[in-house]
Amino acid sequence: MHPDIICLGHKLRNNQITGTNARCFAILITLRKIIEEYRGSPETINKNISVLLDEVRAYLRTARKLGSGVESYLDNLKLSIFNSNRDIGLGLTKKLSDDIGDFIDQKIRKADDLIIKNGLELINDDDVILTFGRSYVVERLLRECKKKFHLIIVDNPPYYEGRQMALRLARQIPITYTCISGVAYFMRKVQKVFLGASSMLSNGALISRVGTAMISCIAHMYRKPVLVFCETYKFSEKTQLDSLSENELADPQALLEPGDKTTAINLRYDLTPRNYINMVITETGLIPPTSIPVMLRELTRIQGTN
Amino acid sequence: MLDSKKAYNHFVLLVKERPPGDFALTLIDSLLHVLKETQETTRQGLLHEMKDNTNYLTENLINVEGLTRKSSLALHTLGRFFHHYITSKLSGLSDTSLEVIRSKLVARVEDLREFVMSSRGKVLSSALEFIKDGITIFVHGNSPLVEFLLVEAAVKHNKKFSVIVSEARPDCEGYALTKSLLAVGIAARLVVDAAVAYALEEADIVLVGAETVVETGGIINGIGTYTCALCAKMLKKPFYVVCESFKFARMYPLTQKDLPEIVKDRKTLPLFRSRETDDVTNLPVLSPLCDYTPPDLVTLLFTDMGIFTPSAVSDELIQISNA
Repeated sequence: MHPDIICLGHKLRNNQITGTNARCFAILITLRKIIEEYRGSPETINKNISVLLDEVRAYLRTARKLGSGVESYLDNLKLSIFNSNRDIGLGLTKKLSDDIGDFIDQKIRKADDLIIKNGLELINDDDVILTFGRSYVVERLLRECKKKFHLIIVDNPPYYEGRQMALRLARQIPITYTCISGVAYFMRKVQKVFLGASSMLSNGALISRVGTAMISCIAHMYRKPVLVFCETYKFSEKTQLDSLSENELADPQALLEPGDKTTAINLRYDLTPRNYINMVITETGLIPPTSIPVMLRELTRIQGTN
Repeated sequence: MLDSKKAYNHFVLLVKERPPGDFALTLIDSLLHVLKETQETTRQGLLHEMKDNTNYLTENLINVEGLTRKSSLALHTLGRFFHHYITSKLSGLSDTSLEVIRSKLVARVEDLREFVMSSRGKVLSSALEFIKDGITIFVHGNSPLVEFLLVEAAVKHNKKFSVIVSEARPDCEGYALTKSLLAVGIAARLVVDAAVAYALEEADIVLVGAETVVETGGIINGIGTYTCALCAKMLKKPFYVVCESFKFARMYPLTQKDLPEIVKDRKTLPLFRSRETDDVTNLPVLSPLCDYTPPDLVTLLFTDMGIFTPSAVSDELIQISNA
């Protein structure tokens, strides 16, 4: 196994790279590097690269689940290897490398630029915005916004990701920092809730950092709009009704004091049902959560004609 | 020389000639007039001229005599839809001669005109089976489409139902609707706005029109609609909306504050009836023209494209914009 992959596996397992966008980016960049470094025979390149791809995926999965967006992209990549001309030879590495580069450029970088452009219009002067955890795109949006608003950052043990966001934004935005137990107190004063996403499902549900469902529920109770910022590559064909049927477990020791023998469950994600979400901001525009399967259909159609 | 006021001037002319009310067709006719008389020789020039005329027309609708500020919102949406329609049809034409392009485009716009003209009949056929014999319908305000629906159902389809109409202050549109329903023999009664919840107990369904249907599946309609919708939800009465599909707009309001500027405030329109004394009419007021009814309060929308649930509206809008 390539040392870069082993290193990446380590980082994923030890939470050194967190956040769906960051992990997707790291996985694809590393994969692109090792595809470019392929030095095997050009005759069997199609088969070899396909096998390489499978091995890398299997290895990374032992470190941590990859995420549905990455998995579906890699499935497409494998399909494009299969559909490639047999005589392409070493040109295949260039083709795949370009494909990965395009994906990162279009579906992550440019998508985020468009999401932020759409999102800037949703912030008004004197707004109080509540956000949870640390979403890359929400952080960038808040940093680029030139309007005067107040930010409430809600945080959650064991990883306290909100602190990172607070440190980065405190210089330019007045911030109130609180834990989840304080949310009901602040929710009255809030105008909008901004959330990031790990993925969004076909039934309009949101999979995001554990605690998001609670925030959305409280926001709904107070009739405050909940806005989810999500790139379209994170849209999944899957459907899920609750947080427990499919989830990821992180290290239980992170929740306990050293030496404590209690059984702890450290869930990474939870599921927010569709009716607690008011709007999803994607690079294609603003859509209601019920339109996720519509978007998936349109994107597959557009991809098919290309 | 590009004349972007051509459509506007023609519109003002047609509004004077025609009976009041059906402004959608008048808008299309004005833009069709520009298209037929265009002197442009290039595709881009043609598109540019249409775009400028559409923009000028929709932005100056409020200055047109005889047009209410509320209906200008629906026409604004139609204008945008028209522009999108023309652009997508134009890009689909591969002919080189501008004459051919122009005549094909005129034919497409005339199709659109046909569609808009027949939309009322289609809405009627969507909604008819929900107007059953013996029911009591609660209507808020006066939408021309609702009036058409109820009159046709009673006269042409012999449905027997009764109607409760709310006044819809401050414009009191409900008075005109009650009169026209009584004129065709429908048992109609008027209630004050404060009695909406009281009257809903007796009603079986609630029926309203819409100025605009937004992306969420919610509607923007005359002030008081939101109140009716909230009461209907509480009292478990179905809340039905009738509207044409050209009123679907890619707007996404989250709260009442997000309404378009043009309907947020009544501005110079009178709030109080002339009988009220001066010391009341000088009070500071909060007087919106329209309100936003969120999709969770809307049961179904009856449109010329069929019966929609609120979540299907976004699907339709995405399809229209990707077509």
